[in-house]
Amino acid sequence: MMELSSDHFNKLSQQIYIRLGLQFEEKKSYFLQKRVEKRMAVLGFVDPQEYVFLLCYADSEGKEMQALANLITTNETYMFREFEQLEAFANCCLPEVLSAKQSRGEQKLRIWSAGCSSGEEPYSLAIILREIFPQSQYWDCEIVATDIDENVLAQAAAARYWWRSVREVPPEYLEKHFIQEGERYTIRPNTASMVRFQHLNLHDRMSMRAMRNFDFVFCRNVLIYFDDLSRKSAVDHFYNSLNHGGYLFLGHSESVGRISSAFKLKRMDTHLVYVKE
Amino acid sequence: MIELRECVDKLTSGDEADRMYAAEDIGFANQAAGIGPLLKRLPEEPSRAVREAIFGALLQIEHDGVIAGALSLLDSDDSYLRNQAVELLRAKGALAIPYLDRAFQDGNSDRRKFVIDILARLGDSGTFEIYGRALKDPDLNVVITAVESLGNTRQTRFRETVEELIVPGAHPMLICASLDALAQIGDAASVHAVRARLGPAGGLPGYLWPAYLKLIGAKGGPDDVREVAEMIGREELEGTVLNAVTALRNRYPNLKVPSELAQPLRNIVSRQNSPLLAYQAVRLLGGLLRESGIFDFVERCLEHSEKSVRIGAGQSLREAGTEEAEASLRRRFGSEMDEEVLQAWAGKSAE
Repeated sequence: MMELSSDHFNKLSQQIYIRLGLQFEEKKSYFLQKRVEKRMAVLGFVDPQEYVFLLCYADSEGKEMQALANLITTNETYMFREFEQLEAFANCCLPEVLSAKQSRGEQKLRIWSAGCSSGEEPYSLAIILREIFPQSQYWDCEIVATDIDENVLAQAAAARYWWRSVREVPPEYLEKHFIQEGERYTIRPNTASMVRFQHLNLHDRMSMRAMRNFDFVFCRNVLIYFDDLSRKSAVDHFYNSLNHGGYLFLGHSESVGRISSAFKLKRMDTHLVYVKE
Repeated sequence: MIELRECVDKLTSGDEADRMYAAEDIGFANQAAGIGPLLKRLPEEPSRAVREAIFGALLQIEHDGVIAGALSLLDSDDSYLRNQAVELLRAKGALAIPYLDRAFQDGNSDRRKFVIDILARLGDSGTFEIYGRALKDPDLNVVITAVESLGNTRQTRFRETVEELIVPGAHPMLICASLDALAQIGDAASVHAVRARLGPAGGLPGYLWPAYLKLIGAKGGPDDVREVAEMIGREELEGTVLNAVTALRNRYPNLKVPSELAQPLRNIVSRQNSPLLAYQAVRLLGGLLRESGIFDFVERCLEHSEKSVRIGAGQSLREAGTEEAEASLRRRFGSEMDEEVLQAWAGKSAE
């Protein structure tokens, strides 16, 4: 059984941060080691140093990093995933943006959920919005949820989920915003109607340019599947799609710092968020 | 069809998004005529986002003019432009090498160092001549940068040249860089060469120990573990010693962990400074379970508050494969709640 030394762990985690924007703390060393072990077995490596070299200096096309990314990321999606990050949105960022809008006499709020998959994220945002900001029903509030896959969009529009997808929804929200039929949960129409689903390829620069005037962009755990150039291009488009003072949310362990320096990093409670000044 | 002239005009638009889109479109147009306006705009562009878009566009234009333009930016007073130019040249890969060769020969020491920094990402054989010149450079920083780069890019053909740089009286940073590089490109003979040149480990100045231990871990033999273990008493070297023993154990799975490591390893686990070091320590203690008190200590680690330590303790006991160790693990299985720990104890692979 191979062991990752702290030296190897540091080099690997640094490389993963630079190329995927994912941060690994020391506490996650075993998690990373098991995934690296798996890749080493596939490649026939015995010494972790060989793998560190491959990833850091001999992976110009990024194929090995992608293979590792597939192991270190999770495809599972469910409502209220990364709860603390949503708390930072609900308790800090949203009130700040709303207060600025109110002082300017504006009554329009736009949120973009990019790479929304089967809709768990945009519906979570809709629930939060209704809970935190009841006046939203009198405002022009819109959550635009986009994905490249038309099949998942159709699934999302149906707003019906199995128990597993709603297991992290706070019980009071579950009761208020869902209709339960056995193990199936359907989002109530007045909450579901806040979300508009739209087909969009994040690589399509012309379609991306049409996405403008958003106050929040959520693109969590999506960019890790892109190559460097596409990731940079997508983040540039997010920047242009946001209003000044708007926020970009990536997955909680993802970082935009290595992709773009255009955003300003801001601490909100225990969370770091990216703002367009 | 992208109208280049229109895009070039928009590079000076008052709207930030328009300037970004203009840069992006020029990149997609992929015409040499777009290079000049992009380079001209860079120093006067106030927005960081647009500057990044301009570099992104330059990256997409397949013309040597981009390489020449990027080289000119290496002399800029603006560190952002210099760093981006380095990235751009790296991204151009082998195409940039003839230009880098010329830039190395004509440039001052700063530029020569930048050139080596760029080569650090290019494993191409065309870089050998530049490296050869860099190793004889009159500027020490250029030589050190070249040595580091040779190690990182695993240019084994330079192994002997790097070994020859290690001589008593050489600049300490050069010796450290050379030891580090040999940990990548050296072999067992390099360890002997280093000992012959610098003398026994105990006589080395303290600043050389981390690099020396790294070399032993990477290229030493099973017998070298004793020399490594002797250095554990120095707290500042604990991490380096653990890394070296772990590296040796990875290469020689039957390596006997020296018994004098038992107490220091226990101390590292107990201090809880770093989860990773504590994990490494408890894993190495797995090789010392027959020593007095170690089995009980590792068994207690199954209840440690730090998850990595619990994982390492379970792995060490499972690896021991004795009835006593298996029984300890079975006793703890019921009360352990963490899924990852349970999987590690059961020896399951990552999902």
